[in-house]
Amino acid sequence: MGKGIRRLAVVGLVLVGLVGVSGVARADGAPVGADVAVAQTLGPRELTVTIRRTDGAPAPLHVDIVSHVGDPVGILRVRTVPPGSRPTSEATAALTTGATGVDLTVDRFGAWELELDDGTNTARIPFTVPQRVVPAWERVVYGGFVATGAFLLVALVFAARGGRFVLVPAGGVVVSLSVAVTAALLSSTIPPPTTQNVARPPVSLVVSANGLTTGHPTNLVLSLTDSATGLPVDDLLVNHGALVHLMVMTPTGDLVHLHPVRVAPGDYRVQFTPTASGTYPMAAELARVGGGTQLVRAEVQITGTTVDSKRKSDGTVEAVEADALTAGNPVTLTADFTGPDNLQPWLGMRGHLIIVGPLPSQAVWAHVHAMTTPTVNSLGSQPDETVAAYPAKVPFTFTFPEPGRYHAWFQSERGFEILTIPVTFDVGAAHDTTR
Amino acid sequence: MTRRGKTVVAAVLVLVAGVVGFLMWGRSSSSVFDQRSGSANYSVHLTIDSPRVGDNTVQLDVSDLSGTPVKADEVTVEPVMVDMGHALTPTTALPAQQGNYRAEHTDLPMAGRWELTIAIRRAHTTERVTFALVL
Repeated sequence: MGKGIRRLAVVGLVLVGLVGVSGVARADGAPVGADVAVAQTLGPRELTVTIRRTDGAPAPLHVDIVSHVGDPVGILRVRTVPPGSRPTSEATAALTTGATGVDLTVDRFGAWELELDDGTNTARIPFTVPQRVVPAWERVVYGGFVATGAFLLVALVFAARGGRFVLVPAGGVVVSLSVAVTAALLSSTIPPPTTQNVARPPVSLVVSANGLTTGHPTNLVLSLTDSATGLPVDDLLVNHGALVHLMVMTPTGDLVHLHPVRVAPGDYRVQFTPTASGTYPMAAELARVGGGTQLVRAEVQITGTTVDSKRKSDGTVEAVEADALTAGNPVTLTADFTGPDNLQPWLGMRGHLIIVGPLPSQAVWAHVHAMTTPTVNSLGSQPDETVAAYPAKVPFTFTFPEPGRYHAWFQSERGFEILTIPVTFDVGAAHDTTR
Repeated sequence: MTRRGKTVVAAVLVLVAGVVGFLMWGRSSSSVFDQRSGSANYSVHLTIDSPRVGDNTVQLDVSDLSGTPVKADEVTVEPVMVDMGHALTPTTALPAQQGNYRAEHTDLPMAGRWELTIAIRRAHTTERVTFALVL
């Protein structure tokens, strides 16, 4: 065999080794993204919509919808809509209490909206079908190692035949290995690219409603705008299982915990049935890209005659030490929802405590969580709403910042029913001076 | 090693370096910013040839959801410097062809993350589509 042919064989093998590189790296793509669970108060229903993770695109998309006790039975149309296009898939879910699954499809990577349509109300939940991007260093590491292997094979062949040309593939082995090892060692110092690390300005919230009278369901319209530019805010993150948590306090001291649906950028709506005339103070809890959680306050005035609606209490609450209820002292309040230990996590937590006070100023609006612990069933990940395995007693620890009277509502879930324990606390002045 | 041998070794090294370099940087995007997005009724295709700090020309193809070009009453580009929370004076995109609009002299005065909100006014209704751009 002539030398020219041998050389050609070497170059050919090198090329084969290197061309194979990118294919190896791409095929190694692990699933990216995560399930997204979003609570949505759609019309009269309180739904939890879980958009399951997709592996690639085009791909099937599974969506689970949990309907709660008290929600009407009915049909919900679910569609996947890419921005600026018609829906690519549609499915209908026959809602009953508990979880219902629907199967849809997504055909491209990037931004999507999941449209929920109950015939009267429509919600559009933004979600992303992420594409796994192989970073440059990873391609170099894979490429380097593959090229090393290829050079090694060639070197073996040349070594067996004898002659000086074995130095060529041997040199290739050294160079490829150096490149791969260097890139692998340096990779830990290369941060992943991110475009979400700068906090956005606070939002301005305007809540309006037409013809709000007691006893009639009406849509509250929430307009969210950027406080720096005045433009609609459309970068809300799913925060504690919802895009917006709207906590409304009724004049009779009840709490309504709602999850407005997104209709268009910056335009959120929620159905609400007032029960008494007076002022309804409310707070919206939300998080923007790059920023922490914000609490924005608003209020609406309602006229009309009072409708009897005082809600029952679903349990009792006890403080660990009764005299510990002083301002500035952490106190553990244990809500006992009674019954068996089968509470379900709601909004990703096994308990929520909403505190408003001191009355009448309402300077403090707090949202305290009792977190879930990973259960055996869920294999170390955070359990979803269908796991009914949590104790009926839920402890919360909170430091009341000011003395005075506070309204508090303890919430959890059992049998797909949202439980609420309303309590009023009188918090004494601090004994000690805190510095 | 013979002179030819050295030449071959050098050629292989250059080839390896070249291929590695291509793998690292060869897939960087071209200099045209090209994105599609949409609102409830419009689909918008935005292109900026060589986006740069300073004067840019924003090209917009506006169509309805079935792909028919849209003749809007007014199309404007509203740039916002995201990191600074700073909104700039909108530029008007002038119709060039059917459904095609050009916003010349759209000034993006600094590097960083920008949001270009395209406002489409038609029959007394405005719809907005937002694009994210990093300069």
